[in-house]
Amino acid sequence: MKQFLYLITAVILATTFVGCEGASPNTVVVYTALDEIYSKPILDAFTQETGIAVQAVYDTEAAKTTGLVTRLINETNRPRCDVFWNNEVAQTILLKDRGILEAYAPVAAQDIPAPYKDGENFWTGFAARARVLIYNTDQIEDPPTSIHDFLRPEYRGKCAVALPLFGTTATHAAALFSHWGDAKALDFFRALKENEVAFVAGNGVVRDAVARGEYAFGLTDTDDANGAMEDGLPTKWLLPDQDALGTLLIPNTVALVKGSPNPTGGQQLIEYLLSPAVESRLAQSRSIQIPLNPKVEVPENVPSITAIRRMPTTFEEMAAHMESTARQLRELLVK
Amino acid sequence: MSSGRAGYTGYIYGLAIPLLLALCVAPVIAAFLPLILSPGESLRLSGELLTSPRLWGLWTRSCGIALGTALTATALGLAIGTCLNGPGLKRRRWLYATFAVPFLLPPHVLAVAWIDVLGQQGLLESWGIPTFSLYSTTGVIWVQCLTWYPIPMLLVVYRLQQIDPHLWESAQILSEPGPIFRRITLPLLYPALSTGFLAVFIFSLLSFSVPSLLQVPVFTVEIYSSFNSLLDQRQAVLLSAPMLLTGGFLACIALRRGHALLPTLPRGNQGMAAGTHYNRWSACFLALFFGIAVVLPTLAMLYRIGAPHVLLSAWRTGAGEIGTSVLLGGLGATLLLVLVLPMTLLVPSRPAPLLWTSLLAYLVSGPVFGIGLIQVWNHAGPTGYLYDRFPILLIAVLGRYALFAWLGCHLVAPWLPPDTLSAARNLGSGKVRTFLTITLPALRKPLAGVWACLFLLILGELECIVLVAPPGWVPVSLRIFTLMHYGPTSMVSALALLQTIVTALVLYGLAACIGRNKVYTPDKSRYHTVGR
Repeated sequence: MKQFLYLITAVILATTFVGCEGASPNTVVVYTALDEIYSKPILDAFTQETGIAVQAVYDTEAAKTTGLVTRLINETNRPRCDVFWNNEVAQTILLKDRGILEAYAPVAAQDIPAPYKDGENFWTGFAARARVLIYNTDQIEDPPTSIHDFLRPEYRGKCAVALPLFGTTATHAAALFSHWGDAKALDFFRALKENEVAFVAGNGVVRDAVARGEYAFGLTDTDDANGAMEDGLPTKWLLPDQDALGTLLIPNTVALVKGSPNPTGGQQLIEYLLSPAVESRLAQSRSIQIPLNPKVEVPENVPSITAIRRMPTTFEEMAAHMESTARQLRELLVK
Repeated sequence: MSSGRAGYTGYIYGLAIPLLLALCVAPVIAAFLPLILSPGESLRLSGELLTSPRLWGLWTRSCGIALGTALTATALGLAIGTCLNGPGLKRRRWLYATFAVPFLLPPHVLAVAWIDVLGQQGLLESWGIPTFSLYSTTGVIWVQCLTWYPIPMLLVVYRLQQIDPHLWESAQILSEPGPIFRRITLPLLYPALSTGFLAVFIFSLLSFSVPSLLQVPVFTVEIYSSFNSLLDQRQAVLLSAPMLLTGGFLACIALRRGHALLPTLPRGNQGMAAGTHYNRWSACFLALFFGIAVVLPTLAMLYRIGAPHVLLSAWRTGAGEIGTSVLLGGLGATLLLVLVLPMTLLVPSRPAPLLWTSLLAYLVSGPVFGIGLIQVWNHAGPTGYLYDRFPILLIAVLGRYALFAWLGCHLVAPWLPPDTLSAARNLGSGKVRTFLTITLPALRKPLAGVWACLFLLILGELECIVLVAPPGWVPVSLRIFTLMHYGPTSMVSALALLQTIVTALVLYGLAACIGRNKVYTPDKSRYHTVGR
């Protein structure tokens, strides 16, 4: 019994002291909402290049569960994280508004166009994803081209969207509320519901359900849509509303956390993430993230930022509408 | 003797109460503190929530699903447990393990497997077999009850093994199987059934992932959207209050029924057949159920994995996370037993503080408990040091699962041989010595069962540790949930299968260790393995 208790104590002590480098100057802690399969190789490359170790915490489905943003809000009295690398922008702006971020103007951000970075340097955008229509090629020959096609009677019960309370679909909904106004946007979502559009658990679920043929088409992000195509599934995708409303682009954002344990290392990581090499790498990956830096060469299968008609909404307006949009949509859809 | 007892009681409670406060109560108080500090605002918010018909609708649906799941799972557990414990059945322990396989997997992974089986383009439809819509309340109940039926099943098996074989034989001489089942078996099984029902009901009430995947709005969606979409923690914490009240109410009812949570039967036949007589009907039922509950989802998972290289790739990228999970599960389950068992056995007359504090920590939803943990532990100094490292995961699971350790320890208490304990007391053996040399060895098999259940529960933990997992220590449940929405689905199935295999190996190792017979040799004061 005694030996057993000694063993247990030894294991606990060992696990307590492993990873002691947590607060050392040669370690950066990053909270990242970008998929681990894409973000980890980049963080490893940073370590190889600079010798600075990176300890990463990855998000679970862009705050489907209470993820990194909730953590950051609750850790304000003693931040554990140096850099927040979000895969979208609205919640980063909400963190800025709550005073959780530190202003920092990265040198590497000079070439990023102004709409994609904060005027007060609290965050910088890079490598965007677009909200796209994914359709099943076995079921659709003449693909829909607009989000308004979800309302067409012939597609009743045949299309899917992620529940617009979480992730990038929530951001997209906030953009529509911001652009159209509350009444028109709410009517649109009400019409979606009446046309029996399925509100599923996430963008990945939309992709899978369309690929399986459960739904003819749906709304998702470029990374999910391209992944399905690369897997050889019977799907294609397109940018919606290129002749009118425009497509929503959602950049990754990177920000320094206020009072972080290692701000110098954090700044180095931010500079690295904003470098053209990282944007190029993300563009060439399976997630085909769209480079925002004009100096980065765009691969053939990735749409160019200059060729996309964007939704005319600023990210700040979107962020300002996030809460009211979520409240209204929750009343409408969750019952 | 009485002063010694009082001394032990004081010692154990002196140790237990601060620990319980730190692990279970402090995080809950910390999470509720903003509400407590602004009572006016809290009352206003409560009024708004109480008068919302939409919330009442969600709450009713959540309770309906929980009730349906608990009733179905309990009925299934009763049927399978009695069939598996019937006379004439060979290799019974292997069958227990086989039928408990769904409990090894996280519910959301099983939900994905069931979508592959029963979905619109699923396996059954491709075979031309008509199915029902999985995307419905029925679908949620289906998936959840097929995930959690092993809980009442194992409790029923355990309870049946406690029944005195003489009682069973006498009943068989005097009556028919039907009346025996109604008048003797069912009443004796009541504690197991009520405990199983309560556990499944609470699991289902707190469940978010399965209803979310199957597009059924439930009350927990409201809590999660308050956290994530609105970043309104105060509302989210307040919304977890109905969970607390409902669970507490059910626990009160169970305790008022006397022995519902505290089986008092003496140790019984330990494996002597006291279930339904094994015949061709029960064999058909078991085979059919096994095909539906275990084979079909496993086939779906294998189909998703596709090729062996996916398994290899999953192992290469996920071995660390699986290791973290096994370490966390093993340490967590062991520490829970080390903490709770002495309190339960040495001071058996006063279970209330441990029960209510641990119930509080589990019933408040996972994210709320996680936020409380951050508030309590994330400070400069020693607590911050622990918060930044692996121990915060241990602290989280110790607080969350103390309830189940308590339940398990109470279930194993009747296995203590009272004659041996009396003899030891008469010979002047102290409490601690008796506990270490007689109680623990006598209880090693049922304790191994409790350890296994705690290990499995900790492996599935997601909602609380998602908020506190430190960098570099990611359990596999977290990785699977991350991959489920973004990553390749074959990888999700491969990781889930690997987790199942590793878990099965750990449990097999435990069973092999426990299976050895040991005898006590007083002269050397230690045990020796004497064979298998």
